[in-house]
Formats: sequence, structure tokens, C-alpha cells
Amino acid sequence: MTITHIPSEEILLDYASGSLNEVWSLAVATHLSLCPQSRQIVSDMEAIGGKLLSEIDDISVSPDLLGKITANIDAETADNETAYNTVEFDEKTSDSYCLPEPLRSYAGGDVDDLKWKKFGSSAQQTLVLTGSSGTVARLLRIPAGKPVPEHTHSGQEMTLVLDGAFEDHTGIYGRGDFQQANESLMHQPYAVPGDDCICLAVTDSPLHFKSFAARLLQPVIGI
Amino acid sequence: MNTQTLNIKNSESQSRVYFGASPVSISGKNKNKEVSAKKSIVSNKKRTAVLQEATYDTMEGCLTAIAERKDRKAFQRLFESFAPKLKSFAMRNGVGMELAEEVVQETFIRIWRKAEQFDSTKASASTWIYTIARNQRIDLLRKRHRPEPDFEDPAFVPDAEPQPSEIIARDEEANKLRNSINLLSPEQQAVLKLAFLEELPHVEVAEKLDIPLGTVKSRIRLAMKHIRSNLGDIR
Repeated sequence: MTITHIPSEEILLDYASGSLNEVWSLAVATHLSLCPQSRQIVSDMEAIGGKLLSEIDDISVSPDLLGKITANIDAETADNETAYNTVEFDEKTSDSYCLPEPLRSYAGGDVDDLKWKKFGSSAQQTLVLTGSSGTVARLLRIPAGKPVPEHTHSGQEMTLVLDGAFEDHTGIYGRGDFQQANESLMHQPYAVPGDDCICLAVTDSPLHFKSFAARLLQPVIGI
Repeated sequence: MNTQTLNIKNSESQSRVYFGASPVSISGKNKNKEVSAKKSIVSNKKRTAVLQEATYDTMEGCLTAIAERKDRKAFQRLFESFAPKLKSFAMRNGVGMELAEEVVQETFIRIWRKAEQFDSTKASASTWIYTIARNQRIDLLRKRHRPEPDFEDPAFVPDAEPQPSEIIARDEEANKLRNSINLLSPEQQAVLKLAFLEELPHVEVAEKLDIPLGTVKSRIRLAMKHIRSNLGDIR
């Protein structure tokens, strides 16, 4: 399946330059794990960073800095027990994980390892903790064929599909597809029939639900 | 050809210890290296000798030398070229000398450790070093974590396997990309400099330049479009 919806170049630039905060970067980085096309754009951008770095004005460093660094390296080399990049993965195939890294580590496991809570009438959610405050990342599980409660956002929302697919008036989003929405988008996404739709949704402000019942419940269920 | 053969003979005795050193050996179990070195075959020696000659001319050569044989001279060469730039880069965030040098130090420690991961078909040395320095700047100055894809994760979707012809094209592509940045308009370059050197998100770039957000977005898109169209004939 091909990914057709990718993040905007502004967002990829903020990610490439390192200015995008942790929780948005989590959504972008997880998308990049699934999308060679977006990785190519980010590499091109990093090459711009490399070029700008190579042309920056020099500021001379302390005379003892190289000595400090090599002392550090020597200490490290002497320590035979130090090993890097030794993370071992069990023999799983690419199809067996629904959540790619870095999301899987943030969530604390794959989909079936997580504790899901009711979200709206038929959906489920689990919060994903990051170091960013004021921004919330949650995994949503929307049963096949069911709608996500109709809502608007007063801020930004990024959604990354990890399993199944959802559809709204802007198109169909499958695994790896990325949707960016702002306050102007009023949408009624629903999960495409077949499989449950699992997605990562990041928002920087509470969602505003259109239906009166959902609005009434919002403070109670904390969404 | 004759001079090359001579050089090989000269360098044989001095550099024998490096032959056969595993490019991925970072575990500290280095005692086997010398044993395997003595068994090394002639073609390997020749390759190493030629490589050592060219090594220090380019930053890519230095990184390869560090990766293959933990070459201290190459490391020093890299430090002399890049440390003053990295310090300047770190200070663009408005931090003092001391913290900036910490960024330089941590960046070089990682260059030493991770040199094996450098792939000259995918990025130039300055690009690779930029990504490490960027991450160290985030780590040390912003005190936050940067989520990144993990290419060893089984769920990672890899790039299509490149053909040998494509590998050459990628080299050319990297050169072209770097050159095409010089051809961007001053306005586009200003946006990119604020983004990469001062680490400003595009929203703050708009504030700093006192231009509408839409203008920043269109400059980014135009710059990337321009760069891609320059790459068009080789991609």
C-alpha cells in the first residue's frame, strides 16, 4: 500500500531542523519509519543543514578541548564492557508490529499490550506520555465502519494511521498516512469497514465536539 | 602506478596492524585484530594503502578512516575543520562559550563512536555531522528528547534497494543539492538559515522576519521545489 498523505514541508522542515517539539516529532518520526518518500525529503533538508553548517563563521575553541575529548574517548575504549547499539529485536517480521518505533517505546508496547479506555460511544483511547506539556498524544481505536465523534480543533491536530483506514471528506487515510488539521477543518472521520482503525492523534488543545451530548461529557471523560 | 606500488611497500610495515580490522568492531574485543591482520590478503593491503593516502583530503575520507581503523589523525583533522563551526552553530542558540563547547565535545564523542554508521552514498560528511550536532544541541540546550525512526526496527519500511548506478547518482545528487542552495533567492536562504542555524520553527521565522506565516510557508515550498527541480535530471 502506498502512502499518499504526507506531512507538509513546513512540518518536515521543523523536524529536520530540530525545532519541532517532542510530541509532534513523535508523530512525524513514526510516520518517517513507514514512509521512504518523506525520509527522502527530510534527508534533502538535512543536506541543506549540512551545507549551511559547513559555511558558518568559525569561532575558535579552547586549546584543551581536543585533549578533553580524546581523554573521554580513551576512557571509553579502555572500558571493554561498553557496547553501543546492542539493542536486540526478537524474531518478528515487519507485519507483526502495528506500532513502529519510536512510538512503540513511547506507548510502552504494541497495540495488544496497552490498556485501552472507552472514548466516545464506541471508540477506545490510550494516552501516550511525552516530555511535551500542553500537547496530548493519544492512540485511538475506532471500530471498523464506526465514526469518530464530529469535532473541530482550536489548535493543531496531527493524525497518523497505523492500522485499518479512516475516511473523511478530504480522502482515505491508510497505514502510514498523515493528516494535519487546524481550526478550519470540521470533519467527521469514520473508520473504513473491514479492520478497526488504529491511529495516533496529537492535539495541542482540547477537541471541540459538535454534538451536545459529547460537549456535555467532555469535562467528565477528559478528552 | 609505480609510485603507488612503492607507497604500498613502504606503508606495509607501518600499517600492518590495521589490516583486516573489522569496520564494525566497536565492542572493545580488539585482540583478534592483530591475528587476523597477519593473515590478510594482498588485495586488502593494496586497498588499505591507497585508502590511507587519500584519507585526510576529504572529510568523508576522515570519517571512513575513523570507522575502519579508529584513526586518530583523521579524527584530529576532522576536529580542526569542524570544531570551530560546531561551536559557532551551538552559539547561534544564544548560549555561552562553555555550553557551546560541551555541544562540540559531545558531538565529537558521537562522531568517534558512530563513524561506522556514516554512509557516504547517503549523506556528505557535513550533513552527517550536522544531524549529530543538531541532536546534541537539542539534548544539551533544550533538555529534551528527539524521537527518531529506528532503521533496525522490524516495523521500519526500508528504502528500495539502490542499484549501483543509483549510488553514483546519489553522490552527484548530494553535490548538486549543495550547489543549488547557493542559487536560491536571498529571501529563501534567510528562511533556511533561521530554521537550521538558529533552530527556529517556521512560525517563529515569520515573527523574526516580520512577514506573514503564509509567506514563510511559500518560501520553504519554493526553495524545496527549486532544489528538487535541480535534481530532476539525475533523480
